Amino acid sequence: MNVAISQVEQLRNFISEVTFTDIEKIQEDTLIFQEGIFDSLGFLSLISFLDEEFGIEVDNDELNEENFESIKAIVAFISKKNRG
Amino acid sequence: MCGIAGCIDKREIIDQTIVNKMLTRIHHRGPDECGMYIDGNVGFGSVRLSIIDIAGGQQPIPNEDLSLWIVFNGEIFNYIELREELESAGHKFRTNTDTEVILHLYEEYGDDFLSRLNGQFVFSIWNRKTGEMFLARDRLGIRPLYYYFESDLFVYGSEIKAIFEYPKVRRKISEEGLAEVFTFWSTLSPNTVFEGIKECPPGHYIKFRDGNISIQKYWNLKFANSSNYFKGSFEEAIAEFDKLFEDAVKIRLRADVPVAAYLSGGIDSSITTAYIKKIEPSILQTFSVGFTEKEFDETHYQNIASAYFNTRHISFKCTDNEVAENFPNVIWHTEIPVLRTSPSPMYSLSKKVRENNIKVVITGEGADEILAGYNIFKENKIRRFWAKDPKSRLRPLLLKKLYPYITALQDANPNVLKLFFGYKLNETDSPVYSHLLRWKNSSNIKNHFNKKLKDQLKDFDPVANLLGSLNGSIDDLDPLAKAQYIEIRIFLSGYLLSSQGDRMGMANSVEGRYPFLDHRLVEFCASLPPDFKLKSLNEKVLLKRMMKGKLPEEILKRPKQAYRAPILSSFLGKDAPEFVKDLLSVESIEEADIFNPETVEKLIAKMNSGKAYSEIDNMAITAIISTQLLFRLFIKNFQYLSDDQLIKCVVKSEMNYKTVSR
Repeated sequence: MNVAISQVEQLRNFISEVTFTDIEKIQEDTLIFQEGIFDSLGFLSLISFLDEEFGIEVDNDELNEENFESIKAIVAFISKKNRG
Repeated sequence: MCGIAGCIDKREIIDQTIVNKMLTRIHHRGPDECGMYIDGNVGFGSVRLSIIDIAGGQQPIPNEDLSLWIVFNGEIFNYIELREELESAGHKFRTNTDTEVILHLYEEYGDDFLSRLNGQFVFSIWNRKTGEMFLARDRLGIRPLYYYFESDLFVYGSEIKAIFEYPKVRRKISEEGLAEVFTFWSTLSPNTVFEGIKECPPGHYIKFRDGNISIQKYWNLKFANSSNYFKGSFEEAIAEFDKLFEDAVKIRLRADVPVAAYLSGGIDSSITTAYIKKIEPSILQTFSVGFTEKEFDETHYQNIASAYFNTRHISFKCTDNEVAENFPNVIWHTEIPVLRTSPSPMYSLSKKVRENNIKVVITGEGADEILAGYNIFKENKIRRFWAKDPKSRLRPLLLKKLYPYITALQDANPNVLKLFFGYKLNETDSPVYSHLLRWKNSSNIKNHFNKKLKDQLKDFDPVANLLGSLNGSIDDLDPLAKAQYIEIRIFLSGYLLSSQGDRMGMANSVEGRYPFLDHRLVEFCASLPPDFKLKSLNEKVLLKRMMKGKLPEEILKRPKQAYRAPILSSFLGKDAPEFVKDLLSVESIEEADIFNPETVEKLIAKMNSGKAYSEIDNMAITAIISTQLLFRLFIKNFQYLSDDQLIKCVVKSEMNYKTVSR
């Protein structure tokens, strides 16, 4: 559980840093694309961040809304990848 | 072309020095002469760039019985025809100018005469008999007009800096104005980025009398819908367009000085050049700006066009450093923050034109708006198509083609595209659907506002305000017309024709003329069905078909390239000017009290790191630098002109003229 919490915080910090959005506006279930927080290059840096921080390599067919729509979804995706 | 300024102050007798100061501030708009008129608590004048009736056109100009006095900025292209008509009605003219035609039309027809003008104009007419000041602005907002109004005081001018010379006008940046710019790229008319300063919206006139102001619309761009589209065939539409366009170019060649043209290398300016050559085959001078940075440079196509038309062509390349070095001058003239550096090379270009003793240039602006050239129209179409089947994997792929310069998109699969372009995908009922994504992206600049501003603006929603003002008025239009309406109403006059148009030309005393924005042509194109403009994903089909065989194939067939200029390498590169560092320092940011020094610092670090940064970051850094400059130039360091800086200005009065009987 603690691991998941720290992942959430890491992701919130990262997204806030890269998009200059106030961190309070980025909650676990905020729809980061639907809200327009991320644009294309922000997203690419998220992919590199997952690789650098969590050792997650994202396959092309995993780049979808289901896995990336919110921090909650990303954390679930990380955990699925780690299990997998 | 000229600049005008004036004031009515119920509590003061107007001091001519103040009117002179207002005019001196906009001397660049009219370096050839200066004239003013003072009558008790009314004063106004103009600085003139002489183009028509060079000797006789000194302003202000009175009517026959000296009861009406006009100052004028711009051109009335159909003045010859109008003058003939007025003369047969008995009007006596003192000059050969278009200025005087306006005055007599006003006399003859009262407020209703504006619809008869074909031109780009702003003027004020002082009516001594009624004590009314009448001001008007052209239909599309090619020429600027601003005012300041509080019960006993009305101050106006072609540029805001003229109004700021009036001591009772206070200077303060409007936070709401900034929030609008960082959404739409412009404020929503009549707002500006200065508190208390408004613009006269395009297609409106203003009356000021006895401390009361009234603002009326005299022209509205009406798009046809499926019930009343142009009924003819595509070929008939081309024939009509050709006829109107030829006349639009022809009347724009009227001048007592040589007229030149800009050649961008794109299709629109090539077409204007083709028509100029057809009408006046003698010599034509053309000008182009290119870039040392290859990504932005269109020199190759400019050379093809100039060779094809055999023009006397002058081109030069703007360096990254020049783009940045110009910026303090650019912002002094735009009087509003900009999100791209594109105005800067236009500033260099008009300088080059002026060095070659040219005062008038014809340009291709407007074609993208009236015939749907911009990518945003295609993006709108694709997003709507995709929204009908949001699960489709093929439909979003169409979006890739639109932005070849965003490399990250080129490898993106449909899922990724959905993440980028899926913003409010299903809200197709919104009248501003076409622009929702763009505005959302620009709005991210506001993340850099400091806490104070964010708190202040937390309930301020520019898009909601716009929707309120539209009030359902475009709901019955087709999706393309809706997008065109928004683009024309907000971006054309608020950015393209001002920050990138009038202001960059007039900064160096050069007047732009825009045949595609002849109102007859604009109205005609608004009557066309969408397929005559954007067919499938092929933009400006009418123009392309019309010009087949009359332009080099390479230009006709080249993919549309958006006009852009370098940002990062200009502002943060190794040759970046010192003033940029200074403007972005923590002290300067805190002093202006608009942005958050921490996020600004992080933004600079991010852009300097060599890692990926986004288009939003590009816009943000440009927005921050230009806002900081705006604060410095107009708030912090603005100083009233001193008496020894004033230009020579003739004071005109009834004494100078004889009355003429009709």
